[in-house]
Amino acid sequence: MMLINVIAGFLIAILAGLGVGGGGLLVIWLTYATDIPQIQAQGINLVFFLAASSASLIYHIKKRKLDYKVLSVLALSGALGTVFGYAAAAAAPTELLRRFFGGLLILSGAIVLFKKRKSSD
Amino acid sequence: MKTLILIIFGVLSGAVNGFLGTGGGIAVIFALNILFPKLDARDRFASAIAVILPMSAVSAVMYSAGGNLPMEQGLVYLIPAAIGGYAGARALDKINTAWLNRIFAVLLIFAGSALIFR
Repeated sequence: MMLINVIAGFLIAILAGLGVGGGGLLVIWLTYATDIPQIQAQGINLVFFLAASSASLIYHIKKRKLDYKVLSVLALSGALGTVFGYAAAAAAPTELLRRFFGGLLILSGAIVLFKKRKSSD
Repeated sequence: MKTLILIIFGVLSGAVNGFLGTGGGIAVIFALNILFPKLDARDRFASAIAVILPMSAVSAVMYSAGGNLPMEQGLVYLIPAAIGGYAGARALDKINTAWLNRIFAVLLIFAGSALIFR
């Protein structure tokens, strides 16, 4: 039971590092393979992302150029936004939260399939 | 004007991140696309991660305070997450992920549909 979680986590993190699949894969895994409720699966996904992306960013940051002023504005605004987002999640019935999550997955998939390739991609 | 757009999309991204525990990246990447269209795709991706990291940290604190972050179940994923994340980032420049992206996009659409219509 533990081993399969380790393997699943490892594979999902590799995909995340490659930019494939987005944040949905672990939540899908957790809600199908365990009986963890939707909101708690989302919570676990957050720390999973923190671990996977910190590791990923350590690698990226050496080779990529980042505009820290722009990123600061986004990050600070984002921090404010999360307060509202979490409040809504905590207040929402779990079934509604699952459906919204499902909508996000469909949107993410559709974006990948239908976006036009730019020359810089 | 640019700052206003950044703030709006930043708040939107954070709201999605707090509400669904993921997904804020779509808003960030969209904003970076329209404000900095010449930005290299990989710089854009790295920028999005750099922004979503602090956002997710704030969200994680709130989820935890609300009793919605069961670490006893999440702990098992953390080391695989770190190793896999680093490995994936290293592989990014060496692998063409176009087909992988498409396969998982289809999976996401199926999974999303199951969540909505089940």
